[in-house]
Amino acid sequence: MRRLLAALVAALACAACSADPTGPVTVLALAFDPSDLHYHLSEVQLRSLTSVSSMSGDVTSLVGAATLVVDPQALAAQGVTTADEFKRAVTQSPGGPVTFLYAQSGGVLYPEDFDSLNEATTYYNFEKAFDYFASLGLTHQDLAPYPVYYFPDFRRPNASGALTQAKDNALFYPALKAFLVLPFDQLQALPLSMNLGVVAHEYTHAVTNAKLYQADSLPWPFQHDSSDPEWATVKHLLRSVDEGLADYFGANAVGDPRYLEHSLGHDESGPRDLAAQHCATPAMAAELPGAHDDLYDPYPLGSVLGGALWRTGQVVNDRQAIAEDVFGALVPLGIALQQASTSVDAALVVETLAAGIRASARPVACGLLLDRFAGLGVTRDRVPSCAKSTAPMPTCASAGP
Amino acid sequence: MRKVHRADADVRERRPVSVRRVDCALLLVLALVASAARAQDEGGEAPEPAAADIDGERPPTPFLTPQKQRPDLPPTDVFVAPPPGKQRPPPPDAPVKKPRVVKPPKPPRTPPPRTVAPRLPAPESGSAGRGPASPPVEAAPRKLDPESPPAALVQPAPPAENELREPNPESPPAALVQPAPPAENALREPNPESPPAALVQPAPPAENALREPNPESPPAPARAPPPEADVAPEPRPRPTRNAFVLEAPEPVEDAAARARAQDHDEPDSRPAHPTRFAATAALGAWAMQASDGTGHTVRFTYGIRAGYELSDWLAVELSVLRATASAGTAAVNVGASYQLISARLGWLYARGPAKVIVGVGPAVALDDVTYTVVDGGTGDGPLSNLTTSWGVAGGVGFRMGISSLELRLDVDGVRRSSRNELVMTAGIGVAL
Repeated sequence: MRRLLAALVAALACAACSADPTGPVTVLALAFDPSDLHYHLSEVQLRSLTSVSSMSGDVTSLVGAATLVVDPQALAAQGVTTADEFKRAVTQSPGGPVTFLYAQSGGVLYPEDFDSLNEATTYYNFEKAFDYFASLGLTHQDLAPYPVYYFPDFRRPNASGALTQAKDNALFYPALKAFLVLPFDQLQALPLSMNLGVVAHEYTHAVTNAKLYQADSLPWPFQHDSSDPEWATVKHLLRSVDEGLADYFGANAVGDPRYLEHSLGHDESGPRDLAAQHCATPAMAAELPGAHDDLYDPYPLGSVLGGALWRTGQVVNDRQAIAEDVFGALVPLGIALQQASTSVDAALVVETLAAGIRASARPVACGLLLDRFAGLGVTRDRVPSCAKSTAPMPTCASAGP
Repeated sequence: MRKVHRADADVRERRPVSVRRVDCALLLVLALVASAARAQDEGGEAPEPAAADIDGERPPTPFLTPQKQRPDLPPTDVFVAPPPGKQRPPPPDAPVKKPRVVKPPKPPRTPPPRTVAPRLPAPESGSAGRGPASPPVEAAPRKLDPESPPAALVQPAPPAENELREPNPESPPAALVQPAPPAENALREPNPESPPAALVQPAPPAENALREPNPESPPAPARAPPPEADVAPEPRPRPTRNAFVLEAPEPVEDAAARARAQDHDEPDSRPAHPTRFAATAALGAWAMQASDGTGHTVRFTYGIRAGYELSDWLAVELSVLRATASAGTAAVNVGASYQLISARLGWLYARGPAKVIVGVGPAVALDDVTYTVVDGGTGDGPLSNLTTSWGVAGGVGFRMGISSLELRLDVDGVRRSSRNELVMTAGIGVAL
């Protein structure tokens, strides 16, 4: 009798345990369907997972229940100067790995709750983002598998200076060397981390940080006080370039220039619709040196750059080739920027990117870039690579301000 | 129902997932049923502990041995109706507490059979005027000491156990040793050469007379002299002795049957039926593992729990619990209902109306997850996926019975799919 009971308990304990699947696993996640430009529940394969239950792998690892507080006063009081000190001061609770709850049926792992579905989709999107950049030439050596803080308690000063919990956003934090997927509150559409375009956008920030600034936690343009108009111009311009490249690669990753619309809606995402014509304006130029760091909006000028590059790919009918060229131009751009230092301007950015684009597509790229950035004083004579490039394009001048 | 899109590029390399899965559900159920049946068989012997004692077999070892528990029981223990397994009849050499049980005569008071003759007191030491003096007759007054009257005189019921245990006529029943022996032996063996002393003498140790029919002793007359009370009524009240002696002896079969029936019909010491069924409605909390890394999330749960006591120390319980959850946004929502069906075989410890059950057993979880996705006017769903996962559940249940009302408190630990969960419920129901 006792032996039977012992055997029974042992069998039950064995049945209660299930090994953590490794290797490629098929999970139910939300995947973008390029054929109809919508997200659907799909059985997707995660190939880079090393632990399914904690959603960690070669691309990233999800960390939950972290508390991050960016308090400038506290940082100043602690005399934080280095990136490591900043990370330690900000990270009040490091959190831990998430727990992907699933049920297995027919070889497919089905998430058992919303967070699990979100986590699986988030990892899938990061894996797809890496795959996309890998197709452009990115390697694992170029970019470390930064962790993703899943729904952290992220507090930072708002416009009035009070520490508030940030929500409804996703970001890459170079100082933390991590991605942040913040909880949603007002956004009731597709969660940001479920949006492959958004994830690719944030992943581009990590890529540009690695390519332009050698993965520096605090890149050199941002080590200077913004009270200096020269440095403020550089910082704001490079922020816009960063956002423009991120939107461009995000849209390319999903093949949808309106990738934000799934999460932000039409009204809010409209200004960043890369299919629309975005033209630099004198107002944008005026904001570069004058705006406060926290008040500067980098997206309008970023959309000018992103829209021009997106349009180039459409015109030459080879978005992948243009994306490869732009990706290849990141390292030269980083070098040029560092050499220029406070002399960085939009013309330098346009010149470097145009020089990286293959010759067959360069006239189109030059035509678009020169036209879109004309409002910032970018002329043909300041862009040597486009000196001989002419292409009939609908111009910003013809479209009006 | 699975109606999902397939990302062809992603599932192109799809291959079976290397998950170690033991699908031994049927085997587990069969093993559980077999163990429960065996346990019930063992528990079925519990109502007849006397037979086990007679046969020399020990009853199933209970969770708390009755040997240790019994001395601590209050006098009202018989009304508590302890489980039958704990009511083993006392061993023959155990001190008898119940007045109905006749103890064998102790050596100081009853001389050993073979030494009766030498130890017989002198005739003058007996009561005067009690008829013809004979060694057995004179031995009787010694035993019928008014200071310590024999138990047989107070309790006319003979110890049926001894009769059943020693039916060998060569070893006379212990009842015959008593001062008030049943006269049936005398009637059955009307050996004129050795007349039954019981008929001749009111309260002799008839055993001695029967065992050692001393040929030198004068045979008793066929008609016994009038009883001692009739001839010389004692001033001391001994009213029952003559009546007891003159009672018509009952057949051995009837005595045995009565003894057996008496042994079984003691409502104050044994419950009428050892099994007990109870069903309760349960409400509580189900602590599940949180997927966002915050530890556990607690969800409201409800369901039913039913228990059946296989014996006084073994019980089987079945519980069906359910919890629901829903989260997400207006565009992406995941609703889930979790059903946990668990059976546990456990040790039962009862203390009055309170019972504690500690058990373990299989558990099966039915998770029904519904996904709803609405993206830009086109959506999927709701798509439902029902999955089954096996696990093990163990826990402690506290039950309190108040008449037919059953109150219970349960704490269960569940391990399934490499997850640890905790279910705490309080319930109220009926007990049958």
